[in-house]
Amino acid sequence: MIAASLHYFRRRTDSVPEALAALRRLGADAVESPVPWSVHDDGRRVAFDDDGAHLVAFLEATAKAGLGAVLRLGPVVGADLTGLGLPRHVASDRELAARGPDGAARVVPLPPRWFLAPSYDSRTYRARSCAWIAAVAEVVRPFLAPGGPVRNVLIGDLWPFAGRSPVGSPDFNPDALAAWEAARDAAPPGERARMFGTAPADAPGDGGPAGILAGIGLGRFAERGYAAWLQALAGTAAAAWPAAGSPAPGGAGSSAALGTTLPAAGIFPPVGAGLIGRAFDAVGLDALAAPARPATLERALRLVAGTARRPLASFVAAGAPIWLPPASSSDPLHELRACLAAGLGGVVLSMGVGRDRWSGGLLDESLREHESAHRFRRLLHGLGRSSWLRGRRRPSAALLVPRDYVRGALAASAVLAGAPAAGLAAAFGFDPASALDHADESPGGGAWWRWLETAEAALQELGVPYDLVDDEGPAAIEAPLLLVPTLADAPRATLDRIRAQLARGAAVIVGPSTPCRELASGDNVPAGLPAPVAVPTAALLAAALGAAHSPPPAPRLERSVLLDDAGAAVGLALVNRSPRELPLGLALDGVEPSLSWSDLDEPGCAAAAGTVPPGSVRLLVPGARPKEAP
Amino acid sequence: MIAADLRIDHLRPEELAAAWRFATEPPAGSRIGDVRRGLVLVLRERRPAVLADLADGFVPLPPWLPRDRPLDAAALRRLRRERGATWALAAGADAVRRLDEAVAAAFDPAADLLACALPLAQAVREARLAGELLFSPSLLDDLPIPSVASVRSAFDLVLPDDRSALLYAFGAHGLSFGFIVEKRQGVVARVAGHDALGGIAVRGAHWKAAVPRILAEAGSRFAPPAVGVFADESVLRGIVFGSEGVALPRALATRDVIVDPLPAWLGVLLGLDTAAKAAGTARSLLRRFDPLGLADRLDVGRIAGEVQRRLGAENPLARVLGFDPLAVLSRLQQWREL
Repeated sequence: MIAASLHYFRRRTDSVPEALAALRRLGADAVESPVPWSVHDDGRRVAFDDDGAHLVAFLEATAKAGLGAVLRLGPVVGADLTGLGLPRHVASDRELAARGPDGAARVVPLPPRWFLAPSYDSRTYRARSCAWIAAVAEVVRPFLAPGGPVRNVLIGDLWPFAGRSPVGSPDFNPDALAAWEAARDAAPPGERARMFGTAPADAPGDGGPAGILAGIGLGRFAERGYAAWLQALAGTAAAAWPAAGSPAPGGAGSSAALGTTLPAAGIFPPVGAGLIGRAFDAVGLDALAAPARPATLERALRLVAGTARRPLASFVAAGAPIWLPPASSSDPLHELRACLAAGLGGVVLSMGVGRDRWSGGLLDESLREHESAHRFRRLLHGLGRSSWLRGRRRPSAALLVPRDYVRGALAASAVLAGAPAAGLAAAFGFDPASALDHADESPGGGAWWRWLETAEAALQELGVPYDLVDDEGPAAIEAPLLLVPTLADAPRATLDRIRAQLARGAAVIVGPSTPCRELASGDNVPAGLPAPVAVPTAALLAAALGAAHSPPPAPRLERSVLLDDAGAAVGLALVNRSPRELPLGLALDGVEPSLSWSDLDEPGCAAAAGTVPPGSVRLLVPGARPKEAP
Repeated sequence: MIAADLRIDHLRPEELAAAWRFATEPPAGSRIGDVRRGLVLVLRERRPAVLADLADGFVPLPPWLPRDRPLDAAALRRLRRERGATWALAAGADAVRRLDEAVAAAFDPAADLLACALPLAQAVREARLAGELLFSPSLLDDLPIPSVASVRSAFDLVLPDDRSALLYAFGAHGLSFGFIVEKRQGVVARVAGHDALGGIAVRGAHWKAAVPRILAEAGSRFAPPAVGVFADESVLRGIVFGSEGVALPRALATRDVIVDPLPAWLGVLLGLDTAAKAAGTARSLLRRFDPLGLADRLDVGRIAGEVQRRLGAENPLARVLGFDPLAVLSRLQQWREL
């Protein structure tokens, strides 16, 4: 899937076909658009064929143009819309809003109009949001793949919990409180005692051990609530689809996939990648992060790539939102290359066609090409010609991210700097755990984070291809080396991952502490885990991988070969993290010697040459092979 | 003041980047620093706990900063200067809680952004007075907080309904950035870039020749312009960032800045400002040969007031807002000295 965004509701119906044709010429094989609730529902009726809300005409034009379609149903679709796409009658209804401890509705103070954040546990909101999904699913039904253009349907909010971390800002909506009490009563006794206080307001308390554990419990509860709401939406959509003879997206016989998205917040997204990766095969990363924090985006890419069964780049910026500082990078394709290098199996370039409240894109509002469009065109056509998107990375190492430690860090930072601070810090790329005491080896401390950062730096120094993996995720870890930050209190999911790796004979390095208690229940952990390593150095990791510490060509150059299902190389991603420019010949030394490589975005078959500049990503594909005899 | 369906369009990335650079990267010699360089010091029980540098992420607290007693303004200023930051903010969970509650209290689904956000200014002031929140430099502490009605009145004066305002800056290679703001029914309804005018070419140093056409085109595609500022970018930077006292009067005289149309309120404001700047320049010159310190007895404010009295002119914005916005700008220009 190589999609580009076109917001049908921001264009006149008669201008859509021309825009679709222009996107196709640029190399897109699909078009993406949000389907904003606020555009189609004025509070009196829901319509999909009105002027300005012509979803049906858009899908008909897409089918006619021979393009696929990716639809983002929300309810919170963002798209720089007022209320982020929530209709006014929802965004201002206090009854269905998330609430603070004093009962006041939670406000999202975004221009041009503030609005209320809905409560995912509110029964009224669930009913209304499901009704919205049912309405749009009914309209989309005739257009589903394989017979129609709609290949991907993404549901869920652009930024779950509207920028707040539920760990620091519990929802006190009466329905949420009732759900929390039900979850507490259903929990096993040990977990109930440790992970639930007497009320959500007890967490994270003053940041003491009991408060942090209760904060972790609250995070688990809130994230599961979000995932359950997503599944309710997905169930509503799926219920509308088979009835018409169309296979349900993701089901047997269908080539349409139902997925969801995550925002780029490093390893601190508001909802665990693992949790939603269990609920959905396709998980898209909205790869838009503060330009000053490139590490945030890279970690988010690797986390989704390593955790989801079908990872996608559901939003890669072409142009920029007007509310973020412009990127200082001279390469407007850098984020796209980074997504492809991480092995994400599909991309949505936003914007394909320029629009209100956005600057730049591939084409402007009048469908004239922007300055950088020709560079995107070359890369998109290269993607179309190659098998890159069918390839999979085979990382040599996986760095496990215990989601409960992430929740603990969010809880501790909420205590430190106030409830909204944890979510805001993560949103702006300030890893909340780095504010915590690095010597503190409790789940509310920063020791695990320090260890994870050190391990990541060692992997980067070695140039080993690696992924980040959420411990609550669905995918089996295939890397020969697993690195796990562990404390005395370790989550069950983390322990299970370690044991699974040991059972298959893989190398496992843990630290900084030996796990001795299961975090939620407090049960003792049986012996048999590896001894902890205080500092995971590059030399140690090299020894565990059976590699030389300073292998040629150069350290801090990551080389990832993408293989197709048959095991043939279909791509090579070079990520240069060294401060030096590296000659390509040196960078390719020893990689699949039987193949010649050419640049993905070069139209000819010329062998790649030149250098890999510092901080850059270069994408190569196998060169032309001799024609086989008929 | 901002329409719920505000339209922002035709902003080229290059134009946006140039405007961003203009706003955040002051020229060398300016007394305002790079506003991207900021510090956030997290307080716990009013004591320093964690320091975040916007450029470097979380960084260690300096050894000299006492952790065992409440932070004071002098320590925050020293921290700011030591790290080369332009601004620093210190706040703890109590301030964040106060502001969070103020946001919830100020929300009104029927109200616009101004009506919701202005009460926050009062909450910020209360947090500062309670010692929960510290800023360095403390530039605007004694500025009166205007009412929603007075800000609306000032806005209506500056940009009447069904009119537009233009701000254009030109560099050596032509247009740096150009914005057109259109007001309808009391609110900003549209903000657009230069491309919205259909692609009027602007050639390097000859930008003044393009001004009439820009105005004519803006008048036909948007509401008629009420005020337009067209300026050489480097001169405009000098004026805004205050690297030179008399930059504005001189630029107007040399037509490095063109104000067209020039509304009456702006004419009065520019006249008063020019008088004040002239008095300030006189004082600076006098200081050079003034061993007796006579220059310090030259009260710039009094002279400007006298000019105002004699001209019979009254600063219209000051009357509506309760403070003089140009005086605020002058004060901001002293940033580095505070």
